[in-house]
Amino acid sequence: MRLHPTQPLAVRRPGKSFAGMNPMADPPGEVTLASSRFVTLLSELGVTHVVTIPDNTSAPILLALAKVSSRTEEAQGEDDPIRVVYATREGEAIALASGLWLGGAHPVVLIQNTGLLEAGDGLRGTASRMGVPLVLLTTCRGYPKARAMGVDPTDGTIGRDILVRSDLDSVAHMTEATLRAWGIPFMYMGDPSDSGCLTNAFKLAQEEKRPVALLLDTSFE
Amino acid sequence: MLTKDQLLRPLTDLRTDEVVVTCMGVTRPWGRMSDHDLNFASADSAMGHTADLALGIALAQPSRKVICLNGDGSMLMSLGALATIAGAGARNLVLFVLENGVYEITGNQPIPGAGGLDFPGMARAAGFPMVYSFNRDVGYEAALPEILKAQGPVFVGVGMEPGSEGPVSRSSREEARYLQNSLAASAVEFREAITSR
Repeated sequence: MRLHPTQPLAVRRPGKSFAGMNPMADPPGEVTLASSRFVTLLSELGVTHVVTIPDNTSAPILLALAKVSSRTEEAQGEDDPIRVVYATREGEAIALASGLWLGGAHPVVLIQNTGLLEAGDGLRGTASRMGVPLVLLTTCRGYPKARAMGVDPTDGTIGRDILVRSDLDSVAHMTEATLRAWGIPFMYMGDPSDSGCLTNAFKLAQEEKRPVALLLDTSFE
Repeated sequence: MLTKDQLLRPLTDLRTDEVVVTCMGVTRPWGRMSDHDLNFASADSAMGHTADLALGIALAQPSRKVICLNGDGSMLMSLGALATIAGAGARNLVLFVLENGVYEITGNQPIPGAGGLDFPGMARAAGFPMVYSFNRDVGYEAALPEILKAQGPVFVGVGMEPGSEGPVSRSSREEARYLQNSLAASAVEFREAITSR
């Protein structure tokens, strides 16, 4: 006996089917030059998939990716230059990207540093443990705030005074320390037009056969 | 409830060149029945991420069927993956969730909500277009060819007898070939195998 009858569900909601939908297939807004260049660089580096949970810093990049996809969709369908996959959590995103690499693709992950903290065991147990040359494009929440307050978020100080201050964002102060603890090499991109940063991150990941974080301490607006 | 043999034997009979990703209590039984270079054990890995890993393989290889044999405890750990799979529209992914209601390899402790969870219902609600559910072997074997041919993502919930597998290791002492190498070495071998076909 079956718990439920074998029942294919062709339509989940009358008139609507969300499966497979690209939520940014026809996105509003203009693509910025910085984000357009960044996407071009990803494409030139052979990236096939961007697995992401968006934030405000990555939004222009995702808009540029969606515009490229929507422009080419009719002509190329599933052969879009870079496919965007939205995940629900960062550990899931990294495991998914590891699976993409297992299958022969060349993914990157695009997440915020807060999400990186969530991803600990997903990163350890998949990309790191498997030796996946995965570049973790990680936006830097809290860095501008710290600088505005005259505090260096990378000085290694994570005392209670830092953790509870409402005029600081504690994640900025934990980012480098966390990456060091997890054995993830990292570098910064402080200028969106600095293509060398991106190239170096990919080169290091390939050479060392492990994940590398590229911290996007910049704006793509 | 199905035994592991009742679940896996028909699958080994029908399987040709599909990818099969396993985890936890089903890892050894599958490895004993099947020696195939497109088997991948999500062992010595991160619990809860087997379905995510399988989705990635499916998206990278859209013309090849990918079968994921996930546990119910593992599925609960990354339940959002149901939405990600449905949203990504991985037509070639068949996600089995083996519902034994326990964390088998740590001694059969109950999973949260054991006995009251409706995994097929969750899959439907997440947007899976094809959902199957079995709690006895009646009908399972007959439906399997259709399940493997269906345009997915396909979800298959299977009520399972609790087993007694201990923790899965990766070492030469393991009988299954796909457990005899490190996770990193297995990953490289699998990638080479799938990209050379």
